[in-house]
Amino acid sequence: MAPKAEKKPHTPAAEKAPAEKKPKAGKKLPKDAAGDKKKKRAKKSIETYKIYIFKVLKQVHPDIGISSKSMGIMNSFINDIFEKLAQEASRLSRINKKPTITSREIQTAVRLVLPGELAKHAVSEGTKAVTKFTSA
Amino acid sequence: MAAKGKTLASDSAASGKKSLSRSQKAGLQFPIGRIARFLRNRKYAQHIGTEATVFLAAVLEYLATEVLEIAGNVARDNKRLRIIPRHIQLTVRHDEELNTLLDDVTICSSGVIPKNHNNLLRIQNVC
Repeated sequence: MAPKAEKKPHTPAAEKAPAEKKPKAGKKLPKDAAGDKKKKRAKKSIETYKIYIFKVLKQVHPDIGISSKSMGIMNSFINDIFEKLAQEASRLSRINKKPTITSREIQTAVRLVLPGELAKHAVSEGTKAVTKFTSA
Repeated sequence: MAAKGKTLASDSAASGKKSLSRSQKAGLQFPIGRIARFLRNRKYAQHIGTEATVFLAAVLEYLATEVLEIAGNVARDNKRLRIIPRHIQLTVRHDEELNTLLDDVTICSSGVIPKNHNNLLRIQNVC
């Protein structure tokens, strides 16, 4: 009788468990049905510089490829340099009490951030692009 | 015909000219529009000049070109048709200015530059 007596308190618990499960299952079912009816959630697009890095690579070395890890490294490199130049330009505009970042701030930031010859070549490339853009 | 660029389709249809993207106008591969949006949304300043985005895109493209050109040469020297992280590491560490720019950067899965310290080499008797 003891086991029967022991079973009794179990059964309400056992009843509770499926009872608890049922509303959960009940809650799940319409969600599943709704999920089945709805199309799969569109993947959120992540913006990278990867396609542009690939285009530049094909301009420079048309027959050389790049692994995905290397592409990730290059993407991180571009993001890092972007952040450095933008932060420096922001600081320059704030120091000079100007609310605008112009090409002058970017040029000064390039001279401050990039070392030596790299800065000179980068400034000349930037000036050439701006001239071509304004004349177009 | 809808084309990439800021100009409206009606403008291009009316003028008869194909609308060009800003990157095409500047002769660049890097996206000027996306860089402009990043500069505006991340609150670097209240206003962003149009020439600033062109200049920045040109600088980023020049740096990417510089690294990819040397890395491609390193890959070819190692008889490989694909750039791997090791090639980028060798590119950066052998170039003085790129090494200064990326002094505090660790490149994943790239190894180190081969170097033996002089004190660890055998003593060479000099007659």
